[in-house]
Amino acid sequence: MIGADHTSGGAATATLALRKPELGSQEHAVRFYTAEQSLVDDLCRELAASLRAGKVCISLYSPERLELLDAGLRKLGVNPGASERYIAADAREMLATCLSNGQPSAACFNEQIHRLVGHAQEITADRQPDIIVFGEMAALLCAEGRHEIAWQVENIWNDLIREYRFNVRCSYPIGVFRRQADGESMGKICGEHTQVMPAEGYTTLSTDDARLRTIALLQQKAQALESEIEERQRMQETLIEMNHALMVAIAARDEFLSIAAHELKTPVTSLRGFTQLLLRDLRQAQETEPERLERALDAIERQTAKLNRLVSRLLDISQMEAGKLRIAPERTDLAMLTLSVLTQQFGDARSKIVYDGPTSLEAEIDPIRFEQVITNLVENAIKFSPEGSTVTVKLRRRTDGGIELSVTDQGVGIPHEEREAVFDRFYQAHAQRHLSGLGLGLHIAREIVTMHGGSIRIEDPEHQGTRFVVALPSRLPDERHGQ
Amino acid sequence: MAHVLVVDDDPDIRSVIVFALRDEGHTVDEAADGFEALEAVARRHPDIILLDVKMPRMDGREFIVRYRNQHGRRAAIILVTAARDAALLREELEVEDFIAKPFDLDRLVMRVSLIAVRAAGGARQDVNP
Repeated sequence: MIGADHTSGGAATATLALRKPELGSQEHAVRFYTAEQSLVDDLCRELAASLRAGKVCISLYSPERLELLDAGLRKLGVNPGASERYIAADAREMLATCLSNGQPSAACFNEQIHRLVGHAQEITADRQPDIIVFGEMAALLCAEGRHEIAWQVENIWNDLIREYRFNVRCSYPIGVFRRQADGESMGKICGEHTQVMPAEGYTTLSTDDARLRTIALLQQKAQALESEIEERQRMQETLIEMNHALMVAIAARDEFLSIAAHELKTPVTSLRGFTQLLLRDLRQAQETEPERLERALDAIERQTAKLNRLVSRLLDISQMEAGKLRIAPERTDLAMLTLSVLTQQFGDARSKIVYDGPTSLEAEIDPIRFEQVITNLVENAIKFSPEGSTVTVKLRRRTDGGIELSVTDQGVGIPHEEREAVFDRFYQAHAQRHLSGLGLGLHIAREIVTMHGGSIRIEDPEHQGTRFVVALPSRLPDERHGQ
Repeated sequence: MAHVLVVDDDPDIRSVIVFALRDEGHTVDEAADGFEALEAVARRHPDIILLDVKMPRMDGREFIVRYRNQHGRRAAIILVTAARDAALLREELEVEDFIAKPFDLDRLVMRVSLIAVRAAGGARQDVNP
């Protein structure tokens, strides 16, 4: 894309640069320069030679440049102050006079030049004196980034040259066209001049062979720069994309932190509330009724366990993120483990829990981590089920030796398009329903199952609801052994 | 003494507020979400509603809209929330007050009593932000 743009831009610039104004025998030359001193030296040499040849030289430069020229001319044995035919004027001042509302006024330039030419006619007593105007007015505009205005000024100069028949020497520091996009304005400006002299270094080459060699090298440089620009543009695009991805990740993390803070505050609120309630009783020397005491301690016990669970999950997820979570598989009776989780943790759940499976089933698993898988899946099933419905936990050994553990609920079900997303970190299904939770349970369950070499999938049960199926291979993948 | 409705989906939080307010002599009803709260309001109209924001089925925001459609601004509403932007919510929802979770039980009781006194004096508008 960039390459194409650039190529067409480059071709257009070249065409612009090849154009020439129609000025008859008059010259409107432009030279580019990189080093200030080389420009001053060249100008002084030409000024001195022209003055010695009896020509009138009009210098239109900034006051600083005029001072440098003065000194340079003196070194060459010319006293500019004493020479009538050397006329110096402040280019900035003339620009300020002839730009109205930022636009150049042709009439004003005409008036200024008319005055200067009139003066030259007077001192030479010649109706058609040989005049050379040296200047940098347009370059001053370019230095301010006003390339279009500079081009208009050059255009006006061509009209003035046709009318007053003098020669003009312009100079531009090549640096004012440093951006890639400046190529076009440089081309337009070259198109307003009868002669174009590249910056020093090139002009000092004496033979055509040397010039051709230099051109070849310059072409290589231009090509390399173009490739470099393309490469940088690509890198910049990649950076922008990466930056965007980072912002999204940071936003997700912020959102998660906000959810986590909210979740942690809920048990803390009960803990603090009941503790303060008991303290109030104590301070008011009021006897706490046994029923109230039991209710308070019961809440404290339950909310402490909840807080502990939340904190454990947060630690788990941070370990997983850092790739530090390890499993320690050992021969375990998975049936016994499942039954103990169901009776110990879900004995008084608001759903009816049914176990359908053998009383004993050997598996090589990490019992502590696998307990988490069962807990998270059953907790999730209860959370999304109506009160009093049934959650069925089924365990069986497949004919290929693998193990299948499924948890089926009678809840609202999960739409097909969300089935992958529910395992994402921080994902909260039915977020709009404001159900509490960190959105980590299923993510952690899947991570643990994956570390055991297994997988979790979601199926549609015969009736309504959702079935999570954990499939474990008959034996653990080799790299898991010994960890 | 005032009649207070406590709306929160967490039974423990509800319960501790109910204990503390009854100790002060207030009459207290409970609701677990916006739906239950609307039903409770219809049974016995409260002077003050202590309202959680994030609740399943019907959250605090929706409850406020529906309550005001049906009953105007009869009861003073105090948000009891763990939301970070509680102060902004108070302005947005134009409620009397907000209490951040985890709250200090003594201060919660005091705020309720203060609003109860003002409500009884019929000068509830003064408490409006």
